[in-house]
Amino acid sequence: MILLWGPPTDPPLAAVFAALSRRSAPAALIDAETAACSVLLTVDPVVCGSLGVDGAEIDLAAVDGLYLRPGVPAAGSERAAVHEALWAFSEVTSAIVLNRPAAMAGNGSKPYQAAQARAVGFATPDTLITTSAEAARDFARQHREVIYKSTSGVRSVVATLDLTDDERLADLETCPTQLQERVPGVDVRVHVVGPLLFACEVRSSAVDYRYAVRDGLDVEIRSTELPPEIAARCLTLAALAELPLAGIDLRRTPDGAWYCFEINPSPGFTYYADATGQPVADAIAELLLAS
Amino acid sequence: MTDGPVVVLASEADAEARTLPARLPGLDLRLLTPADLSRPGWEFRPGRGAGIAVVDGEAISTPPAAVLVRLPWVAEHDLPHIDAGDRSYVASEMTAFLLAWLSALPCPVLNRPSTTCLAGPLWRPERWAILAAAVGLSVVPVQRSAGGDSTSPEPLPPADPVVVTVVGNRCLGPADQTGASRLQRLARLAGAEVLTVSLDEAGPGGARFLAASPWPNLADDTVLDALLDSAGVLASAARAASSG
Repeated sequence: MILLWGPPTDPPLAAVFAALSRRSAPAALIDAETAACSVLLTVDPVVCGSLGVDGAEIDLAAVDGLYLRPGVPAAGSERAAVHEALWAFSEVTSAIVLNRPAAMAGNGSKPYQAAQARAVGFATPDTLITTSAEAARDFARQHREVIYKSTSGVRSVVATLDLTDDERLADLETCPTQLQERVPGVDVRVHVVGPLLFACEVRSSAVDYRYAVRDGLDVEIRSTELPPEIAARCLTLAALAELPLAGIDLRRTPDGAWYCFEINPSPGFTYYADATGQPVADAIAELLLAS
Repeated sequence: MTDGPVVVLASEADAEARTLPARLPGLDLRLLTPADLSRPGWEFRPGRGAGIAVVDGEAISTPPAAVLVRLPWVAEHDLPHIDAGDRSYVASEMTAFLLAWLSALPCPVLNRPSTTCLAGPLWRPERWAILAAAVGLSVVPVQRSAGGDSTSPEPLPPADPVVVTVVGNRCLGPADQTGASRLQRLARLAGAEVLTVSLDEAGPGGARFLAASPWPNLADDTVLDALLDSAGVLASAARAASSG
């Protein structure tokens, strides 16, 4: 039994569920936000229990694979208790889990992830995290262009630092803020699915291509091949981060260097796969069934 | 060990941490609280070595001599000085910063952070039970239920659990040699230099694993001495005293 957890309207979940259905694989897509769910979980130390969904019952010991993309329920609610119990099961089951919660939590700190990227040989942008406007100005003078973005996993729009904006610079004192040299080049998104890689180039005139369409700018996505050493680094990085499924954001500079920006533990791969035709959902389905 | 203060990262509300400077007058020990992260002066350049931290309001060069971590993460209630509407975001940003900073410091950090807790492995009971069994400990079964009509009563914790604190290669508390060896292995596998373990001695087979956490009892002088010794701080303080 393969268990998919999250809203059925979520494109990646829907794509993987469809891929499993095409294989006639036993799979259930559970939306714990709307279904009537109950969980009984025992660790003795063998992991067993049951998941009740709208009157039906799933034996947790029979779950071979888990794909997690749940929302976050309101704290203190009954749904939050169900969420927490399923999260606990996800941490301890011997099934393949895409991905285990503790491993996904590494995405909560971009500089922490950058250290992992450096450890496997990727370049990372020169970075300063500071509460000092003076240090920010010094850093900006060392680089042609400096951007700032969230340090945490909270999504933020990448923006260019304006040294003339004294008011914004004064805000630095509130909280350590991440500044980075802007690295020129072509964005490459790599989806790691177990031992497989799917790479695509993203070309856009936007500072942050995720918001290109919103800002009326162009974005073009097409499949690409990675040099063998970069492919190997991606696999090593995903293994180091304990993420069998990952979306790695790279940039290839004009002089051929490869920078790594982020390792997304719950990648919205359909945005890229819809444009390239890459069979990422099928690969995820096969990975879930491999166990 | 480098020169510099011993930094204790703690919540402003951590009463136990606040007693430490008075209890250890021979040590340059300073509290770093989330409010310090809203002061000008912090400079951290990942992968570039030394930087500047702001501790107890004062800028210091990093790395310090050692860091003791008492804070699981920065919470909204740690940030009364931040506008209410921004607290959740700022708390996430500060936690993310501290995870990277503590992971990168080239000095003793007890404990190094995990991805879910700045003080090390703060795991769900189920994960601890699996690991405890894997190192050969008997384990009190863990059960939870949620939702529907199937809610079962939570088992009552034993009234008086035995507490053992693992600090590096030392085991403080009533554990025999075999038990101590298993607890040290548990801490190693969990990536914790410091681990507090609760055991239930009531079972017919002897001690059974109940729970573990990265929170040592700092009120216990033996535990505190072991912590500082493990961080290399006691030896340094003794050197400083003898040379002075």
